Amino acid sequence: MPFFEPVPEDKLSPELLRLLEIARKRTPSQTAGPSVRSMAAHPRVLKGFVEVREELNPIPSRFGSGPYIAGMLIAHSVGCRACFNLSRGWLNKLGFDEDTLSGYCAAPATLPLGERDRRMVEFTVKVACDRAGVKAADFRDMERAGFSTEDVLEMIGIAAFWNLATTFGTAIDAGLREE
Amino acid sequence: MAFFDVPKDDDIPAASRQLLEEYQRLQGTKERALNWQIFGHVPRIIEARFDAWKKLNQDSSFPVDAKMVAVMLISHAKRCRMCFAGARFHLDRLGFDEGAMDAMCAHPDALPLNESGRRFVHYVLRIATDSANLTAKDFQEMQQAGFSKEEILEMIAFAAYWIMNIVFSQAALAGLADD
Repeated sequence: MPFFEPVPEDKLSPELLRLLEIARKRTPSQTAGPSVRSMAAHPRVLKGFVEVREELNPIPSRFGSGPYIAGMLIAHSVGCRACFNLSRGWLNKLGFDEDTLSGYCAAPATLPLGERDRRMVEFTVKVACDRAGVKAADFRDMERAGFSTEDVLEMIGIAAFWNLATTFGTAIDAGLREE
Repeated sequence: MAFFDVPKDDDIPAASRQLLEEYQRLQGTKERALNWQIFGHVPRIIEARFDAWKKLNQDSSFPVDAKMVAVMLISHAKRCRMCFAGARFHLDRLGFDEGAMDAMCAHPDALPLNESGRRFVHYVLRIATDSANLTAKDFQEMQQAGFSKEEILEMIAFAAYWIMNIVFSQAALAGLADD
């Protein structure tokens, strides 16, 4: 029997149902997944997670599909199944086929994307996965490539969000598995 | 010259400025945190961070000394100088001297906290540094140690929040450093 269990809808307050509705719209399948429904056992935690996702990783994004490509690569590198499947599901829906996405995961250092998209994804993944390796020169490179200070701050927000989401995702996913 | 310029208060929308002031007041510091102030360029990120800080960290029901020890050890493990210094600032105010704090970093299994506080720090550190290897058995162990499912969700949220915050802080520090 799993340790965490999704909270049944008939046990949820109108406020929690509202939050789950927001969460539902964020999934490619348009269903709130078991991780987020398990969070409903602690209303403040669910509210914190749902709201920060809306604010740091908004849809639509100024970076198009970039945040989900970055999300898929970040989730892949830390082994978060829930975030990986969610990102990949969105990318499928946007027209990326499975082989293309598997190619991105296999060779994240040579992404066959347009220059701007590739730089956005690479910088976001670096901020998320190699934090200590980010140097002042990385910011200047982004500036020279045409990104504004606001763009860079937005990318840091996306990287930070995926770190939050993958920590939640991997931990809750472990508690949702059968013992 | 640093990549990020720090926006003046007058250049930040009033609602976000109030959040920065409230954060500073609750932290009990004399100076505004630069790693927050630079996000004045994208006020939505300040709102996101403040909401997450409140809901996933500040309003958490665990004792403040245990929370601050956990932040110090997570920051130590993730090499975030800014969060590490912040946690030690709070621990100093709680009466822990430098020697005691250094000893906690060197021997995280022998913390000068009560049993419940030690267990909280142990599990939060585990979630923050090794969430991909958690199993349902780990959660059973946490429950046997006296934590309810709600408290375990709260510990996951606390760890996830700090992993996110470390990304913001380390990226800000790099962008505030001279080239």
